[in-house]
Amino acid sequence: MLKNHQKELIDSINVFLDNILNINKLFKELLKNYFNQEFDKVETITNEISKLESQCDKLRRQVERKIYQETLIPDLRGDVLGMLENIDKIPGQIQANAHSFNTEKPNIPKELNENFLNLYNDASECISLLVDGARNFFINKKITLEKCLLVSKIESKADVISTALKKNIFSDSKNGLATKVHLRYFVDIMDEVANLSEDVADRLIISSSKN
Amino acid sequence: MLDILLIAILAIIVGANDAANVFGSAIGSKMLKFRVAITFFIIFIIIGAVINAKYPSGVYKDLLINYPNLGDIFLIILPVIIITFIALGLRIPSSISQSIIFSILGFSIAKNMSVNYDLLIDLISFWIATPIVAVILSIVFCFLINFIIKISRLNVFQIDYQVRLSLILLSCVAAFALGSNLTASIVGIYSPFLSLSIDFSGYQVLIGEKKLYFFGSLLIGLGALILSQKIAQSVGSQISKIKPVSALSILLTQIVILLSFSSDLLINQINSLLPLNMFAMPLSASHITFASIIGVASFNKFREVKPNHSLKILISWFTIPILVAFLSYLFALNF
Repeated sequence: MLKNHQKELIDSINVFLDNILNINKLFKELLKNYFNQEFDKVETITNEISKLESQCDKLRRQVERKIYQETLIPDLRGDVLGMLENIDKIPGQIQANAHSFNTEKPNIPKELNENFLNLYNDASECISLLVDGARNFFINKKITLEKCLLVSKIESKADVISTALKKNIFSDSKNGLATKVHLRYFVDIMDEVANLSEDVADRLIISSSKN
Repeated sequence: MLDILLIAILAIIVGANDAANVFGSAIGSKMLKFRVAITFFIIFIIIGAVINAKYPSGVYKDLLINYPNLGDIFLIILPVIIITFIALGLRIPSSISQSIIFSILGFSIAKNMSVNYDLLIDLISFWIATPIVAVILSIVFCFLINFIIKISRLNVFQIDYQVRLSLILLSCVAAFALGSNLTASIVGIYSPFLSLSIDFSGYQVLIGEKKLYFFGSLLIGLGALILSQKIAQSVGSQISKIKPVSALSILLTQIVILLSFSSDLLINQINSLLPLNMFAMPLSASHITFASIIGVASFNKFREVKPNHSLKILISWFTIPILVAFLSYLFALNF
């Protein structure tokens, strides 16, 4: 019976992490479609992301409840719950970003499209590394440490891109201040995905070193 | 009737005190729920007592050349109960078997009775040696278990499952080993009077050896059920934080040491291999547990050890036997 609970838990955590990777992939697709002005597809993808995000919430709660009810992994419980709760903020942020693109439809100049895509590519890499690190937290903490340390490096790259993007936005005299602020907001929310990944990675580094 | 009452009180105290020694580390590390642990404890402590308790019980008979009358036994048990109560109040785990032996010593000095000092010195030597062996064994077991976990490449949930299962199984074996040891501690003093005929509300109740050990261990289980929850949850945490793997090492150490001093079969095997001249004797499970916790704490360079409480326990190893012997001496002189 105990073994079944543990198998269920491992499966739930794996599905939770897979969902985050899927959300990450979907958002990349959403951006490409947005820049191609295919707004119907953007809406469809936004809905898909929302569904997966709700599933993530459900899975996280299920895992948390099970760990406490069955008093599993008592010495790691706090770290695992902290990790799951913090990782769960990432799909939440991506979902919010998708909705922002879908409803606000920012007027992004074509010459900035690639920069926006690059910014999200870095954020996306942060997520992939973090998910890898999180998966390995249950198996091999050395790998977790390696992956999480890489997240910080990639996040710094994302910061460089976001700063350059903001400079470009504000140096463009064609756009008014409202448009500039609006575009900066989109840079910020995309960069936030990388920042959140870095925060979770930092906590995972501490948990892995501690145990 | 007074004897039964004293045995019952002593057994309940022992149950409260010593169930924590077996399952405390597993409960304290949150790997086992109290109700599950105590059910296993009661079953296996009874089995252990009925099978093995006669061996360590023999020590009491051999310690005094002229054994006291049945009516005087309460003068030996009463100081043990008083001092153990005080120790429990101070949250210090004490050793019932050592207290009884020193109470017998105090009693025999007051009554000018001959004591087998060679046996006493042997007992004290083993009592000093066992905590040292416990520290070493717990370190070895901790190292071994961590090594096995490392090479097995299991995930944390699989490790959790294996450790939990091992904790349940080993706790049962530890309860079995402790059953003989504890029951011998509390009822062994009556072992020379077997079969015992006790007047119970006008009825003559004949208590044979097996019955004595059965009821003794049952009462220990009752004490564990009623009183040990808080002690079990705080075992270890007062001395040092216990992780599940450490709990496993502590249990393995207890099993090896307790079984080595209670099973005649094992004792003969060890004596044939090593020049130790070991014999069955009641040991202090509390001392072995404390020493094992200190041993596993060394893995963390003693960072999580609470020095004040640990020092208090160490001092009690010397003060409790002296106090019991002194109190017993006073009782024997005055009653």
